[in-house]
Amino acid sequence: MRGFRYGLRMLALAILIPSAAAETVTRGPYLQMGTSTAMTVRWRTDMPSASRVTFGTDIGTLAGSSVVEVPTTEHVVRISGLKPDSQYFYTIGNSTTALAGAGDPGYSFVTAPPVGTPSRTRIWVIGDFGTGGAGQAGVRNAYAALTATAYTDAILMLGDNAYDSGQDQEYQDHVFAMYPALLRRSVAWPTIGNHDTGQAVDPPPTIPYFRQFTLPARGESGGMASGTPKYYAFDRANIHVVCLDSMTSDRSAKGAMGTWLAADLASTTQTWIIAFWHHPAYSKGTHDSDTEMPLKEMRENMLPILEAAGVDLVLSGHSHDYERSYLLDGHYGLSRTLVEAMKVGPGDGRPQGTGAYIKTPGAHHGAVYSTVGCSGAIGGGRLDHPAMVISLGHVYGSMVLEIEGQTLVGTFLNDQGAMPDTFSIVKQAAVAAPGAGSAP
Amino acid sequence: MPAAASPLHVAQLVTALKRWAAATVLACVAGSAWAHGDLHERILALSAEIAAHPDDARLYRARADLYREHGEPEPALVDLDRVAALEPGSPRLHLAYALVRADQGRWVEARAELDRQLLATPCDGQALTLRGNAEERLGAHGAAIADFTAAIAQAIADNDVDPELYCARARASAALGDEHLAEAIRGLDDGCERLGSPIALMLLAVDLETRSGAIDAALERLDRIVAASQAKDRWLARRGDLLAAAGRAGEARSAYAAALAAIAGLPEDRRGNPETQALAQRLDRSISALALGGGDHP
Repeated sequence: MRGFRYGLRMLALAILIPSAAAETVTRGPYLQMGTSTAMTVRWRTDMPSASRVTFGTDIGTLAGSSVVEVPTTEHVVRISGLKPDSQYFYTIGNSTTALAGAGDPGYSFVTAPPVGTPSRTRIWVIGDFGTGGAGQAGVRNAYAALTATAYTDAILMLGDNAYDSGQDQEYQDHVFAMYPALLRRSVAWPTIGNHDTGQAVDPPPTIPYFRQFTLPARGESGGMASGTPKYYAFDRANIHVVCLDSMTSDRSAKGAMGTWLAADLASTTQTWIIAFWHHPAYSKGTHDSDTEMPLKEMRENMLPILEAAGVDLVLSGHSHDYERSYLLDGHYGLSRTLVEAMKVGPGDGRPQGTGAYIKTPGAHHGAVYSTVGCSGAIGGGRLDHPAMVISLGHVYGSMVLEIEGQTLVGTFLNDQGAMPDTFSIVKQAAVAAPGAGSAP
Repeated sequence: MPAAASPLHVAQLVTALKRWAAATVLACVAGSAWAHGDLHERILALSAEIAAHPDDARLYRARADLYREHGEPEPALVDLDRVAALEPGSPRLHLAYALVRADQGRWVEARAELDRQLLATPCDGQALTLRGNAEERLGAHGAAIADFTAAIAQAIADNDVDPELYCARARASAALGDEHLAEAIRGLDDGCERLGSPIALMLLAVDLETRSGAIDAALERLDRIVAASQAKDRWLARRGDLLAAAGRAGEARSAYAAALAAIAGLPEDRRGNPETQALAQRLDRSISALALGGGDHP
């Protein structure tokens, strides 16, 4: 009889224990708001549970841990006190059990170097990618083949991250299921596209974009506090990156976003300034920057602020093409108003062509503008914007940025692994006038 | 522990979801016309669909949005008229009219449409905000404050607060006269507390505090901006300007000297750029002018 009761008890345990501890990771983990000393780890489970991340620099000894006890299916854990420029391994789980990552080097990330350090940084730039199609997969595979085991420091998502209307299942299928390995190792920095809001310019905070991304509204990753996740900044090495919202925020120069942008840029000491948002300032692809209001307003209102602060590179999507400009300054009107004097760097910017763009620090020394809206959706258009060195239609691809010290190299990588465009910007040191800036 | 959802919150959530769902439905209705091609092509595609389905109000609504995005208000209004005829109860139709009227700068008509919209949906945050903007344009600052305040309350309930609303309300208060500056600043402080001191709110508060003569409050706020900033030179220069304008010459000199020291500590490329050099020269001149009992500040 005792044996029978014992058997029953074991059977009950066998049924109950797995169901009590069997939450499954259904999304992620993915990384947000990375800095030189902190990282936010997010994931989703099918059942509510506590959230725990264990972490350490030795894959066999994950001595650090951070726990959030409130049960949830949307897990958000901020880990801090990390060493800069260091590889950390991690697991995710509930308060007692690791659900994923144990002993797996694929669950690791590298913290940023200290702000201002001229370390080598690799950024993958994808726009209008979230279709879930073969083209998107091809772009992903080409990038994986190019980089092999090399680390990606950041991923810039230029909007239209999940077609057709940014719904949760679309994000699941077209983003999290498409890049699982990359997203658990590299920090993703998104901006809002028209398809992420279902075309709404005033979307509620309940849309998946806002619910699933943790973004530095309070200046958590460098830069000044914007007060909203819709536009923000972050620092990585000697690069300052600003993300603007061309879809749902006031696009006027004196609005909250324009005011924030000017103040944020006045406050950075970083060597490089990169900006990104969805609607391109210059495009003659599947969208026309001469006729569409969001594109015109971003060009007329935001570009003067950016160029006055010495922006180097501006990235957008929306047009399902690849377009890349000369080193430009002061072109805020329609395409027909472009004059040669606005091409600060009139060459092609190619190291193997007319040479890299040479740029001295300060205002109005030129920026490269590129539309990379072809990482999952493609199209055509006139593709004849006079600001562009190159305009390519009907080609899937992404941009790979390599920045080290005073040199930035941007490469357009298509889904076949070819690189039909590469440009480079080299920063030349400014020479301070004698006595200028000397403290009394 | 999250607070239990009140019936009001649930209703607001439902409203928000309906708003998004309506936009999503429009997107789906328009199908490929939304997703691909430039605006002109998408308008042509929708026109073809309208030719095939001339009584489908959703198609006209979608095309009106595209016309608006394309900067063509007149055809947008024609399409909205067609929507009104085909589906008089179309959700947020008055708001759609108001958006076009606002694009045209016809604020009286915009406000009238928004009055109608808000009778039907009094908690519509976008309509409240747009009516606040319309009232501001028409000089009705008190009414604008009321609408912006209602929009902020709605945004708080929706957990969708934006710095823009706080700035708009503060500007409307300030436009009522100096006796309303304290109220304007209090509103900005509320926003700072809720949103983590966004720089747009902080800078507007500095301006209003300066205007109201609350120099020390403005200085304290500038100090917080200096502390949060990697490059402190321009904020310290502004601190000096503020003190110089207030006749506090000794403190102004110190602030200018601190700005020069901050410049000296900048990375070489930032220190050597023309704008920073121009600032350094201006600071030198300001210090000299203050020593002579004059001033040289913007």
